[in-house]
Amino acid sequence: MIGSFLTGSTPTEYTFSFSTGYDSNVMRFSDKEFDQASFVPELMGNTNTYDSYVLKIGVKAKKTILKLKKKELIINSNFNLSDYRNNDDKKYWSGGVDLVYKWGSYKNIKYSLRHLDSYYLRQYLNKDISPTLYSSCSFTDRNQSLSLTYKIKKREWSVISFGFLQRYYDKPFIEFDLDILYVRAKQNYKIKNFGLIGFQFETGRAVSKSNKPPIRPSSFDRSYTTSEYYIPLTITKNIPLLNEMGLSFRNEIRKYDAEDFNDPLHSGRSHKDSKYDLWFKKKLSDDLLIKLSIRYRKRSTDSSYSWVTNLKSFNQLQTWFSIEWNIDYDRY
Amino acid sequence: MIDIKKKIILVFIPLLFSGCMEPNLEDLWSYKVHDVLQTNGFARDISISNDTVFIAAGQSGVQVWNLTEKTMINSFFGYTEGGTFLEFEDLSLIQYDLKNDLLFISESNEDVMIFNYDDADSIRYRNTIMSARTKEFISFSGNSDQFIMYTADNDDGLKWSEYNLDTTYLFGIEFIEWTPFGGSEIYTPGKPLGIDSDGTSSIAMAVDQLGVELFSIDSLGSEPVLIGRVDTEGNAIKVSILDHGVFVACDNAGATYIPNESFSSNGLSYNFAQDLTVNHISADSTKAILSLGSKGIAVYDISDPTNPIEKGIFPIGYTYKTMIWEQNILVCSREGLQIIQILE
Repeated sequence: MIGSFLTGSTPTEYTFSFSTGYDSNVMRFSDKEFDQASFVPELMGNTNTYDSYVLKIGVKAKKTILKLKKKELIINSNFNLSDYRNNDDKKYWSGGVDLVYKWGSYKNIKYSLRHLDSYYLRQYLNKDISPTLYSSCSFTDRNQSLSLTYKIKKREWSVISFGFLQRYYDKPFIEFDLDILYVRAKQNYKIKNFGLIGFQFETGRAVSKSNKPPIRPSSFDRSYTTSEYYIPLTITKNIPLLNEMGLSFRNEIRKYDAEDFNDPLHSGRSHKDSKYDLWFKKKLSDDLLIKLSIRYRKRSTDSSYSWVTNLKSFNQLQTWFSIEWNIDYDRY
Repeated sequence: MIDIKKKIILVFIPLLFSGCMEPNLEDLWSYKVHDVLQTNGFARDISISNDTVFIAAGQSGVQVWNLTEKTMINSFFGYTEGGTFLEFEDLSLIQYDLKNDLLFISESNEDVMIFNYDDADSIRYRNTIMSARTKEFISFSGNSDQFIMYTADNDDGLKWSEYNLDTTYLFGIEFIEWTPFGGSEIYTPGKPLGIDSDGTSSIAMAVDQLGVELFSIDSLGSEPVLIGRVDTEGNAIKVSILDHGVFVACDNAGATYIPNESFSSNGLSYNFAQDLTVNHISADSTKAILSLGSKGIAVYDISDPTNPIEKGIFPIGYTYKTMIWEQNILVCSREGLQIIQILE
């Protein structure tokens, strides 16, 4: 919206989206917790179901604010509202702004700012003050990154990004706050008469300040090292009925630093978090697009404590159907 | 074009910093460990005299440490009586009387032994007072060569007496003993487990399932008079007396605050920390420190004692009891004696 008031004799492109979806395991319960929940109703918070129907609305805006031959300065923004209809705790907004300086095709530098507001995870024991009191646990993300995209060959380009993600928890779980620095490299190849394939690798370091003096209750080190690879394959040519279909595999390996026997939940823990995505897109008209996507997620935790392994491993299935409507607004 | 790129990059860098957010803050308190006196054995109980701390170190007997220099001055695994060296079995209670140079110590569930200690390298056994099943005691110096002791005796009730120095010579040998003068046993239907007193007007005693009894005294050495008994949730096991009331450790029912007036009127009490198992409690005008055994300590803001506010559970190791000392908390733990500061 703000984009339409910026100077520059260019139109503002808007995309409005409406999505509905289903999440099979909103609170990421392990098998053990599914069994426990009937005996410990506090685990469920304000909900009665493990799964939920989800509604999401969003708007994106894009405007070129400076254009000189091939050089362009572009501002992108987006805003989304999500509502888990069967879970009163999980309603949040997210949004962001990108500032892109472009000096050719696949040649740009981009600053991105993303905000995810009070994203509800689940109920956790508030061990700071009680061994039995469950409280709602949610966090806010502020993610900033600087990316450089550069064309290597005719059908090949690279993106390298440096990012800083602040993951700060809402009260009463601020001891889990993390500052995460990461670097990401992605190589993209266009395949003639087929589509696109990419290879991405990301590595990061999450730093916990909770274990630094002065020592607050449950002052444990939640720092970890993460690495992730991601392989998306997008088919855009020769598909009957559809304009695009794709599949991707994402795998994160995380290893916690903690070695404190007072903190068995994190001590010596690692996990492998795999996400398998499949999506289909169909343009109904120049302005209207529909998309169907499915994600299966599986997290396998490894810990020397078998109860931690059982507690922190889970499976999740999400499906989404969305419709997008593009319009150009030009007040000149 | 290169110049434009440089300028753009210079714009991006300040954006990167201005986009940061501040973390949320919580109203919990934190703590700082100043020192840990690594005792041999566990630190079960302590008594402070100036900058000297006397530690009941369980099976390691008595240890004497300098609190300023954090050095051990003396360690006594036992004592000599009648020419025989007798080892301590498991010391759990200790108190030092500076005026009379006396060290009172008690094995678990036993009577109270008196020793003379005056900075020398040995402790000299005097005699044994009170009786078996003494769960806790508190002593005050009276006149010269005199002290008054009150004990929570699990089978006898509130036991108290004034003790005077008694020196006799027999066959040229000096025999020194502390003999009782006056005192009595005050019956209680409960099972006394803990006792505390301000030494001037009040004595509070935890009597297990029956709650807490409050006694008044006109002065040290006068007969305690029962004001009343207030029942608590769970088992009352230890008490900490303040000007306005009594804080009680109630085992697996948490802790309770009982205002003084409740003992003589309505029996009103304020239970808190209900989901904690509290073995001991110490308190001053602003904070209560709850000892939780293997879970460490829990700290409560008791600025309004009728509405204690939780300020955090600190897993500092297996904790037996605590003592508020100047700006610090002395923690008797299996790791030794910890000196910590609560940062509000």
